[in-house]
Amino acid sequence: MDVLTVTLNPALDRVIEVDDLQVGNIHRIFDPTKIHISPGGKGINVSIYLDQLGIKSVALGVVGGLTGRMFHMKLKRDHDRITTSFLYVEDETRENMSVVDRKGNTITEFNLPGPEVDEKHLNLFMKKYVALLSRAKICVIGGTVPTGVPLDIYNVMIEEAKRLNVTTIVNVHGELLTHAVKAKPTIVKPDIRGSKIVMGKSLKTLEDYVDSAKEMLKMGIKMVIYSFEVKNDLVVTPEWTYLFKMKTKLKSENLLGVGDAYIAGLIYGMLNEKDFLESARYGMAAAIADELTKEKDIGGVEGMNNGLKFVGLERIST
Amino acid sequence: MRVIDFMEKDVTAIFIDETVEEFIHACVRQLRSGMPVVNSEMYVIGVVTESDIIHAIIPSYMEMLHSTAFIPDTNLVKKRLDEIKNEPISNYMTKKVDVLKTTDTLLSAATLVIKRGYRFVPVIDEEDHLAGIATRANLLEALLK
Repeated sequence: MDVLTVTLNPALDRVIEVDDLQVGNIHRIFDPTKIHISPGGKGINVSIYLDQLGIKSVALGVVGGLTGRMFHMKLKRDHDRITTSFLYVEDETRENMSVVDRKGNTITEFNLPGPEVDEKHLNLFMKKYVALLSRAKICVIGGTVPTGVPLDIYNVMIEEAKRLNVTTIVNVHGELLTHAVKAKPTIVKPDIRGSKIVMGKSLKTLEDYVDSAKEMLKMGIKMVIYSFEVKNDLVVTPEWTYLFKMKTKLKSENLLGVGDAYIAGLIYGMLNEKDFLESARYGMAAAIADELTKEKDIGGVEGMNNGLKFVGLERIST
Repeated sequence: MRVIDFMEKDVTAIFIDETVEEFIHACVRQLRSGMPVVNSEMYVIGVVTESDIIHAIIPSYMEMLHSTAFIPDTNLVKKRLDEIKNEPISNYMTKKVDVLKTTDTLLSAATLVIKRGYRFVPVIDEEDHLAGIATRANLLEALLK
């Protein structure tokens, strides 16, 4: 097992497509292709994309209730290269329901609450984590945490991974990120979709992003990846700073999970002995490949390689 | 067809020092009748099933009886479970267990299940770590293909 992905607060994503959403009316759906159910959550998504790239991973997470069982079953049935290890709790797993109105061109979302995880279950989860970590080369930690879990949990997890010489890739936001970077993970991809404030600083210009990344490098992090103005990625290491740009304007079909596809592409490069720059190219290529399809699908290695031709690099001198 | 092709790639297991109560909750939540028991390095060191716990809480002479009408006091069973629920699961697991390797054939897995009457068998990888389980239903589904 090379890759361990950790998702403390996964969700079952349901997407229903209708032609004309009308509040207060019944919408009967006869076409099953208009209903999409998929397991989601940052680490889970990375595992799904890795599966598409032919890479095995172990997905560790907390699930619960009927939704949790459905989540688990769906993941096991659809993804042969994912080994699951879930801690079951009493409360229901989160569910994110989206209604896509094709005519009105709108998305209406309902995000249900996740389970509560008490100290006893958290300790058990950490035990599972350490047991699985000892066999991994790369550990991906991402997403929110359930109620009851302390915000410095990722700090503890990264420390454990470092103790076992496991490369860590962290994709979180807000206060979770502030705590996580203190433990100096190997690679950080801050999630700035909700708020562009990172470690107390507001990010507006490219310079703000570069400064923020360099501040993290000073702490001992090896690579920082920022999504910049949606379509571009700023990648900073102690040796270089590059802005990855799309060479051609492409029509985006979907932006959900694109950041997770990026991490899967990055891992593909790293496991194939590529350096950080080359691995970041694979990351962006996987993200582009995902963006070109409606669902979580990068079309395997072929799709990702196709995405490579759209990746442009601009070195930034700082 | 090999075991890796049809097994459940799920390493859900119970750690050796988890309690009987935690095992019962885990079975109910996951609709499982038993689980592999692992140490902190994910090596399989036993198997525990619902039957192991039931056997532990009913008086041994009960197995000789044909009707529950002979149970002197139902509370006796509940009391016994109360007594053992905080004990480590290792006290009630089967220690020497048969395992399958991911590279074993479907036929060898079927033979093991039929011979021993197992509901599930732990599967280990090339480094002997737990890699999943093979259930009777997994076997039958594989044979359908």
